Amino acid sequence: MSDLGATAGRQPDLTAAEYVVGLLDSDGRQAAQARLTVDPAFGREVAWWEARLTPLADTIPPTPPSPALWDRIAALIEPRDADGLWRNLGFWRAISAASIAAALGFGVVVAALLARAPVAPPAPITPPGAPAAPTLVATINAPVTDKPVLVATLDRATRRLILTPVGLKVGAGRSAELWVIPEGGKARSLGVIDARGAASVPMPADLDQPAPTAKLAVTDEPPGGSPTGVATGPIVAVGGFAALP
Amino acid sequence: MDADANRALLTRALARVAQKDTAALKYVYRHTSAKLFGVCLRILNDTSEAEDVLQDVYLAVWRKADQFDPAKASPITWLVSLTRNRAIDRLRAGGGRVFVPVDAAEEAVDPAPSAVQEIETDEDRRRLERCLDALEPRHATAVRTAFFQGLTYDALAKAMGVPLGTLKGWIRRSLISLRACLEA
Repeated sequence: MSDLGATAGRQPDLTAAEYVVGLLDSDGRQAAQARLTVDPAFGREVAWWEARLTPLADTIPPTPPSPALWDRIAALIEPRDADGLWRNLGFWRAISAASIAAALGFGVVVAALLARAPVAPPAPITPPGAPAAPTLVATINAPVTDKPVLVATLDRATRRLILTPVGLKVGAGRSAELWVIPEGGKARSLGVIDARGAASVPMPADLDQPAPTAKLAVTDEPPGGSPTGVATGPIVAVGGFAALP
Repeated sequence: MDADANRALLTRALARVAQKDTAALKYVYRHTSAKLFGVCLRILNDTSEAEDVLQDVYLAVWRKADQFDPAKASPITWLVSLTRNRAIDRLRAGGGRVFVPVDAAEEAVDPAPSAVQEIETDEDRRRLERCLDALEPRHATAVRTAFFQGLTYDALAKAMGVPLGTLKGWIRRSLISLRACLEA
């Protein structure tokens, strides 16, 4: 789309301007965004155009967004969990955008997220029987209060993940969707769960290891779960596994 | 002038956001969300999509405020560019907005600024308008429309009812003229 130069090599490269104006198609934008991460001269050119064209936006009438939006944002950036929550959401979105630049940048973020994820305290649960491999328990905490809202027990004997909500809340008419996030990987939905009753789901393959590093998270989604296959709503709980002593 | 004071306050707030100060983010939100939401709406033409993008924008501001360099850009330029990029990326991911029928194309095209009410002008703005005014009027309209709606060459050619090759010629000549004019 932007390579008119193919037939006229003497034409100047206007990619930076085309990117800033918004003329590039999806592939063109991804290429430009990747180039921004490695080509400082291109970055300066983009900044030059941004500085000069952005005043045009002054003519767009300001429109207040819905009053609820700030609360949504504030919930995602509570300072209490400033190091985990928003990165997690940003990570999911970045992966869904599938841009090279975003993926590279967020790899680091994910590493930081996992390094800083809270260690689950020993859970007050006694597993029935004596399984061959240790039973693993994850307390999935609300990011804002850091209180457990879901206990997930990995029962290796039956190869199921047993879920016990303990005060899991989602918005009225909304669904709680459970996700598994493999270390360094993409969040995968385990489906909508009942926010009030115990349930079990088949053990996800990502957790089939002696000491799973994958995290579990619950997000607040439209009824029936995220329509897009990636989390769209706020994270209401997140946590990882610790082996029972 | 007021604009300078606002710029200084926003710059200071962004520096505090970089220190993970939520009150500072709220300040930035209070003073920029209506403007940035207008930008999202213009590109996405859908309230719920626009709010999703706006939420992403402020989460990105929270995360990346330390990348804002007041020596390189004004805070508003930084915020508007961030917003336009996110909104255009969302537009592309969604397969493009609904096509405007050719009859409605003229309406869809953004008006010349003279038709737009009380605009806060500053030096950059006046220079840009002067340079746009120096272009062929239809060419300037094409550039403005592309900027405001984030339309690809293809979509813009359809919206304006001109062949793709013609439109590309207009835009590329316009961008070359603009670069020379804005550099001067």
